[in-house]
Amino acid sequence: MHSASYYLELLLSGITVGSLYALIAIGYTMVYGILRLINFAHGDIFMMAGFFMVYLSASMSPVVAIPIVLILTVLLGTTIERVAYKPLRSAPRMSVMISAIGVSYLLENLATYITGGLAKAYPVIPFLKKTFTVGQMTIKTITVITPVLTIFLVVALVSFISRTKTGMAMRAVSKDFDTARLMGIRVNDVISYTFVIGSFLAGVGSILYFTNYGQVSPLIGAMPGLKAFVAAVFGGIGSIPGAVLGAYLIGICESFIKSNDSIAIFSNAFTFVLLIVVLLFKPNGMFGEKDNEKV
Amino acid sequence: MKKILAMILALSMVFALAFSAVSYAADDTIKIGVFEPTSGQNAAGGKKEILGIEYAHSLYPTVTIDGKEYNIELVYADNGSDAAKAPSAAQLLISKGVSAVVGTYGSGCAIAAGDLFAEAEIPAIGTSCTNPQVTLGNDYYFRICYIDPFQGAVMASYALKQGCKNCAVIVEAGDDYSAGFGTYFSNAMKDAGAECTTITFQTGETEFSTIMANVKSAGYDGIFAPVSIETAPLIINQARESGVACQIMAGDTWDDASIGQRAGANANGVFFSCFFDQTDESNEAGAVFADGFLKWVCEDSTRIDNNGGKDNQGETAISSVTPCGYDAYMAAYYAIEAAQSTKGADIRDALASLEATGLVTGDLKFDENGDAVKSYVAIKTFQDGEIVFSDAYTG
Repeated sequence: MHSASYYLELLLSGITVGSLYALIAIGYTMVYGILRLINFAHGDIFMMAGFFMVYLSASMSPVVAIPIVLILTVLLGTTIERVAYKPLRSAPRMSVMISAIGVSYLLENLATYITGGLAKAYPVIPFLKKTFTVGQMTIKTITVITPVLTIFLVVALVSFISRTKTGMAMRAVSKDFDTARLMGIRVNDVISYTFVIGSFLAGVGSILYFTNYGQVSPLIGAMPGLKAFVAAVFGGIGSIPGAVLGAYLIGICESFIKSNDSIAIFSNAFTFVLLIVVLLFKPNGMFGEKDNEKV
Repeated sequence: MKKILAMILALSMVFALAFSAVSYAADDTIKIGVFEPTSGQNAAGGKKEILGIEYAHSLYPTVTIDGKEYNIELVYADNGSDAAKAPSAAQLLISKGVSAVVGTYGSGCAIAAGDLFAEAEIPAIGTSCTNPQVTLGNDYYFRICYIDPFQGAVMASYALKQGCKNCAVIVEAGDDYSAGFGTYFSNAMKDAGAECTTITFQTGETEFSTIMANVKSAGYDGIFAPVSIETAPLIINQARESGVACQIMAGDTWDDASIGQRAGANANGVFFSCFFDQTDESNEAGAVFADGFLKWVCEDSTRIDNNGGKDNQGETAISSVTPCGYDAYMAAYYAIEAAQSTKGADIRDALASLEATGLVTGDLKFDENGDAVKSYVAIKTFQDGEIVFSDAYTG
């Protein structure tokens, strides 16, 4: 039989993975809440943030590079919105989604071209890489920092949305574009803010994720992106606390499924079966807004 | 206006595709297909084999058939390290009219494309695909390297020597190389009275801490992980970071400097089997190859990158898959010369009876399955981020 520290280790690993999914899931859920767009390029923005760090740290210390990476990631996110989504604002929703898929493939292939398809080593950020021992367990600093930082950012974000004027504008835009515009809200600015926040969190997520695993490859964004998307749907796409909860649930479940040899192979399948079940029985997710029928 | 422009663009694309498919070989050119991954998780390995092939091509760029000199042209197709993409890459080579194919790294892609090459009657020469299924039942697939049942037995005997009695075998689900090699290792261990438990993970997995928690909890005294170059540092680092101190072992894929660079001191003592050792002085052809190849690689910075970059001393190493690429090209070259023909079927017959000496990984002769008869295995280990020779197994 396994000892208690074994289960604690599984739980910790699940929480770390869940936190990383959460940081990405927020980007999905916010953009969906406001634009009704599933931003398929989001996982690839996360991947690009990883490569920004790889190339920047070649000429400076990784600690100095962190803010620059975050700024570049935000710039990338907003540029994508301006170039690929904004001109399609009045087009059918499907066109914007297809544009998002196009951007996703563009980024993946661009990264493949630049790197030659090879994984690159992620620079070591000293204060995140330390380990310490508690009892029988060896714990990495990053497994502790990741959830704490994630919770902090989520609380900050939720209070930003419920307390500030920009937050209020975001909520208004998510209800109705035209009415919000009539109320004097600059809809385009609000959408840009959404992408700033989403990309910023993806940038933070990428630093934590790649520090943990040590390397970045061009297609690495796809899987975490998909899982975060499932997390967002599970929690009720559009709801931030829902996405975070969904992400933790998926992270922890995966960790326990993977620990059992006979079902480990189904860990990814579990995530996507969860997606189907949620869509079948609770199409708006656990905390999703109800569809009010418009007359 | 826009519509017309779009129409013209679409049409020009269709024509471009149509024409590229029917480009015929010039009269004095013979084409050899390079079937290797240059993207996906085996890209690093594929690129090293391509270097070996290109180096051989730079030394032997022409071949004489019936008194006429033919230029050898290399035609590339990227199989993306993915068995699902491999058939279309193979189809591309076939449609371009290659006479023979060299490659690939990774057994899964070789197995997936094998039937296509056989149907098109184009002989393929496997470089480092070690799974027996590649050549079994396929008259057109040959192979330069040794096969996994042999490699598995050699690694098992080394694992036992290190005192491993109860090993965790960590393999990638759905990967022919990983699963196959893992099974041969387990079987050899069990035959010797030791125990093995197989743990599978899914392609693209990055989180191994749960597996490591299992390894600690179950008290395994060894980890055997025949996985890709990209996954290797993840396993090594996460094992050591979560406090797993047991022996870690692997096979030919791990002969790659980037693993040492990424795992650093964590990789100390990790050992693996491979095809070639550049410091082995008993191998004369190998020494000549090593000298010439390193000079050739250092002429060009892209080649250095593709070879895995430079280590702390500013030197670039030779991965053991590179000589496999070189030898595969040479086998194709000698076979074309012996067949005196550009036809695939003739070259196949010449390969079947080929006996070549002075190749980098030893003398070459294929058995009835098309596998090279090999009995040399180099065992290497990591030390402070660098690969060092540890032992050699001969017959």
